[in-house]
Amino acid sequence: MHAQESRGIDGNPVIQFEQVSKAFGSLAAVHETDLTIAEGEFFSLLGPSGCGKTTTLRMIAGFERPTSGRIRLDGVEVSTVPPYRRNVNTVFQQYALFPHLSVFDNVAFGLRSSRTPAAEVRDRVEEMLAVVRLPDVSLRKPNQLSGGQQQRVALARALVNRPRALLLDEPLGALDLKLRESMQAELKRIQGELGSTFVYVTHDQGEALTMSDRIAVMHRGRTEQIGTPQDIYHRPASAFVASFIGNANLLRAQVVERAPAPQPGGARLVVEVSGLGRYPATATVDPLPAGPLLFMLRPEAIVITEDEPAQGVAVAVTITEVTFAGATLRCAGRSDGGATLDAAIVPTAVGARPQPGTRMWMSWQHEAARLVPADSAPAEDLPAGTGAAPTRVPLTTPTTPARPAGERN
Amino acid sequence: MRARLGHLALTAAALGGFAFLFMPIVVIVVFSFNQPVGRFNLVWHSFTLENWLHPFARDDINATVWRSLRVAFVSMVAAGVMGTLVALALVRYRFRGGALVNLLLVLPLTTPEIVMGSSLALLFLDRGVERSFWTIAIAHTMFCVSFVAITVKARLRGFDWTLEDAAMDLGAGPWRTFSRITFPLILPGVLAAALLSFSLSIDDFIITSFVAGEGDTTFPLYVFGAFQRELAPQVNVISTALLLLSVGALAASVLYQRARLR
Repeated sequence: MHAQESRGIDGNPVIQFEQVSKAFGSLAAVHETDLTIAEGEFFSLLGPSGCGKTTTLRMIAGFERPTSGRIRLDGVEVSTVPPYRRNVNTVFQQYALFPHLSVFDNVAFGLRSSRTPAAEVRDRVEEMLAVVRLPDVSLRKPNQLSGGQQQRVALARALVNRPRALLLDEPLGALDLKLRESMQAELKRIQGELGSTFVYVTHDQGEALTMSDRIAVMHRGRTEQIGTPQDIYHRPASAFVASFIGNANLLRAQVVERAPAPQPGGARLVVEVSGLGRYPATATVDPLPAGPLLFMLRPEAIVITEDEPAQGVAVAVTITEVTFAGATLRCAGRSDGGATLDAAIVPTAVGARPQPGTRMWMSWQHEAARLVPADSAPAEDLPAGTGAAPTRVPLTTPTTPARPAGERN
Repeated sequence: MRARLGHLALTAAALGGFAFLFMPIVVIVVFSFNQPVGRFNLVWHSFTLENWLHPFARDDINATVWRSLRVAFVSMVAAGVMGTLVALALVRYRFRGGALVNLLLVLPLTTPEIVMGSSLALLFLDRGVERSFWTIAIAHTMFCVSFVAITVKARLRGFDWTLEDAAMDLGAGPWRTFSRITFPLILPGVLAAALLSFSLSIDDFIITSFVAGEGDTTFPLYVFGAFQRELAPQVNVISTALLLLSVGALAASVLYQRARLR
């Protein structure tokens, strides 16, 4: 497990998970998760379907009880408190607006449940409908509204209760692309205006990267990494994170040389990349686990030139494929050692235009190359008796004699 | 030409079919306007509104109609509540024996009424239960529960249960969630089922004949018994009125649901 709190959290913790697990029968949906979500944060739970992100959200809301572990809201344990006694509110995937009630009555439902005086209900509902920019539809029924408007009503209905945290379960999934982009901006605006804590479940990595203060990447019931979007993009803690967030070239690699002392931003290493040769790389986790390691390079970090560049590190390749992808040109190149590297380049008038079959140089800044652990094996995949914690090799202990770095082929 | 003939034949066949279906009802309605000679309202004599102006002229008939309405009301409410709860349990929760309950629900619909009636009569006799108004109500409730449960279950199939999650999420406890969200949304189905059980109860003859007490004649029992001695035009009037009532209720429920969908 590489889950770690990689950045300090400002503000008070609103939601805390302590070793929370949830199993449905024999199926482990969430496994020993630790999370801390701070006040005012836009926190995303990101992962493919079935990774446990929705179950995690439903445990915060109170629809599911953890099988083990503790959930705290404002420091108070709420693991067994029913949803109607928790001060959090949810925006559901399909909105779940009450079809027989008007927009006003939908938004007022929560306030009336808590026996708020009628005059205050009216003021707060109108105020919230103004915040979501839907002032003139309060007498309509939900099915007389467009998808985007229904989305706003669902948002107002939850936020009007001034919850400690707003839980959003893939709220933009049902909208088309354009509407989705404008709603993303809307959500950020509303969150900024109200200063509320948002917990946002999504499988869309682009959405998570643009909107979140921090992201928890989930995979098979485990949090693979928790960090800022920059952290997760540039320093993925596992091969899964590297390939799920954006695109990544991932090649098997072995450490041949370790830095004598810890470096800022991770230990600098020299690794033997299969099919490529020896290259410098920065480890994204410290200490690195004992398992297999992968050399990671983002396609957009690669520059293609006809001649060997004077700066950075480079490899000679034969271009095998060039694909037009709108803003970028995707080029695949094969090294002499047989490794394939994908590059995404922005074609310019002066730059080289690679053609399939030509010899070119692919180069990158050595900081761009990362060393990530291959997928962390879930407990059930490990041989019996190995336990959960893999043996860890501290990076700062040199096990191989130092050799000059920067060898190229 | 040929196609035209075929079309005409089809129309004639369809009209014939409808005539076959509705002729008895037409006869009942038409004879409610007859001025009968003698005790049997069977031969058309002359048109009159007399029967409609005095529908409750016969106290003995009134008593049976009133009893039928009371039985129908009691069994509608009892079966409505129980059947709705059964349907909610079956659709909302998975539990051991759910499939068996589903099967048992269909049983009263498929069992011949004569079997149900006689076995109920035997049960009451064996247990020493005096046959009365209440034995009729119990018997009617019994078969109506099945109809209600099945009708409401069909309505619940498309129900969006995340609405209940949403209500609880907004601070509504289980009772408020049911009374403000779930119940109003399933109400059309429950009302349709209740109307169905009302009309099933009011016209039941076979089961009622087994479980009715000595003086507890319902309207259908009265009509059947009286048939041999007399046939008062009030029977036609009241039958027509009951017919209008059930057609009206059906129309109302259809219109109501259309209005809701809009």
